[in-house]
Amino acid sequence: MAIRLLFNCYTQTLCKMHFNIKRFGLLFMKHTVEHYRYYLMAWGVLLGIIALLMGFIIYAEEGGLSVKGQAVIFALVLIGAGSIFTSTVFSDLGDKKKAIAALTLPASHLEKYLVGWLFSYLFFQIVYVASFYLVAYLMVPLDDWGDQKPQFMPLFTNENGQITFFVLFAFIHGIAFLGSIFFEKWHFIKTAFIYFLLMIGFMLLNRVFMESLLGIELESAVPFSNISLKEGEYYYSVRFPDNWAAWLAVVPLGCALLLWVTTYFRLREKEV
Amino acid sequence: MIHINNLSFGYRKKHLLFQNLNLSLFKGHIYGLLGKNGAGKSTLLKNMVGLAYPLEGTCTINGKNASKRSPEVLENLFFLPEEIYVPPLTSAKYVARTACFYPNFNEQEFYSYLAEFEVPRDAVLDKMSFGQQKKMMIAFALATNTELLVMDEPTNGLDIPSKVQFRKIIARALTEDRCVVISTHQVRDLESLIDTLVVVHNREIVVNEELDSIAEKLLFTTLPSAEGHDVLYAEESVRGLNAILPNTEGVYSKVDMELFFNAIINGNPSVVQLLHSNPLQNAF
Repeated sequence: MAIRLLFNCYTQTLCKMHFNIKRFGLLFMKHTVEHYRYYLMAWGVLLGIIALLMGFIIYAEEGGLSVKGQAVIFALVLIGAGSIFTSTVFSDLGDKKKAIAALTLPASHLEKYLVGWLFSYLFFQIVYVASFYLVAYLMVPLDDWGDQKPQFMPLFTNENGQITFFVLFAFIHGIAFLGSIFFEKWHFIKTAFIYFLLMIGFMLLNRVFMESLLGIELESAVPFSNISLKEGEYYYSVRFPDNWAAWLAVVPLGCALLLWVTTYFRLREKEV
Repeated sequence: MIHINNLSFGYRKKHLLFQNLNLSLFKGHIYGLLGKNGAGKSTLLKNMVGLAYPLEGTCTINGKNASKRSPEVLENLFFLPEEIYVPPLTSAKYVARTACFYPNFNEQEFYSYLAEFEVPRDAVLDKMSFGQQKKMMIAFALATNTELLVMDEPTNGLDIPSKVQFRKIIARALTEDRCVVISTHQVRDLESLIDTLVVVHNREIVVNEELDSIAEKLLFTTLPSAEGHDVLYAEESVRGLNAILPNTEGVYSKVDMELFFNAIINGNPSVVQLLHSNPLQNAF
């Protein structure tokens, strides 16, 4: 009984040390007050980019902007703007003056981490979706729909890959998030460079590994995806069963989780 | 308060800045940390406050590992770096958003320090001059009333009247529950302010002594010439020879920190040896 009481007391103290809701609220407010100008400007740019892309396609294409076309714009801006924005979230820690102020502020690493995660992941997606539909509702009806009613991209379906985009964004966010704390400057460029370098290496190694595993020469072998091979005059494609395809989402989500955890430990170990 | 045990630190493992460093600092003192440029004063301070991690050894603040940067430790320490960051807010907004993290922050004290430093209350911090920003941050640091206050070159960027004001305010802000560590390479700025001198030289702490204790063992005087005197170290000046002698007769003299510091960094082992020797040993 005494041991359990002692254990409970210890874990409560430990939890309080790592996360205190009042302190987290104060930190959240401080971060918002100090950064809201930048976030408002970033939001303006985001609206501008969506409007520009949508406007260009509406102008260039005949007929109404298809749902597929909207989905392409949605994915491009989500991944592009999201990764650029995320790569700035811990960029202050690359500046010695700002890093000292941030790291010596009496709040736990977890609280500091969560503020960055909330703004770059959760809030960004909420603001992005709202902005996308705001622009879409204003611009799509302006297109030449003839007798048809304007169509808007539904969000909670994977018909045009919407859910896949969100899964992919989690993975890209994880990479940009880690890059924002890992590098001291040029966060986005350096992260993108390392990412492409690693991806090329990974794809090459994956092919060599798959060929040695199967003992045959492959036509293509995309990591965590299909392989194709040629036997005589026939091409074969080996892929995950369709009804299991959703499980493939575990790979990017698992990677995202791993990258988020790595970012947290990187923050804990950050030196100035 | 702060205990550094066998601390080794280096930005590269092969090139250590400190090796097996031991240092203890206590409440109720104002420590002056002196060292040449590049001696590692700022790095030592960063190790103390958990911004740099030692390769070996530990640095604890009230028994807690500084490198963990736990809120419990951080709310009781304030580190003012040489180069400061101020957000684009007024002093009032900065206080409203930051002071709440320091349980002992005293707003009244903050505004009285600001008034003494003649820093405007309503100006946006990042639009002020560097000197004004620094004075605002010094005022904030003092008003946090943290047990440990560490300042790296706080007088850099201050004009002469502000330096005088700084000395007065710091001396007034020291209490029995507070430990203040000030690092500087401008020795004169610390005169009549610090009570204990810590000197970093050649990767180690060569001196950690109260000024009174230094004055007990060494005599700081001006001589017409060195002849007939047991001079440990001397420098020519317009008034004669500023010299350090063994204080064999127990005469009180004010410690000339610049002369003392120069004696150490110019490789004069006799000064340090005498300082570390047992006074009873010298008596016989």
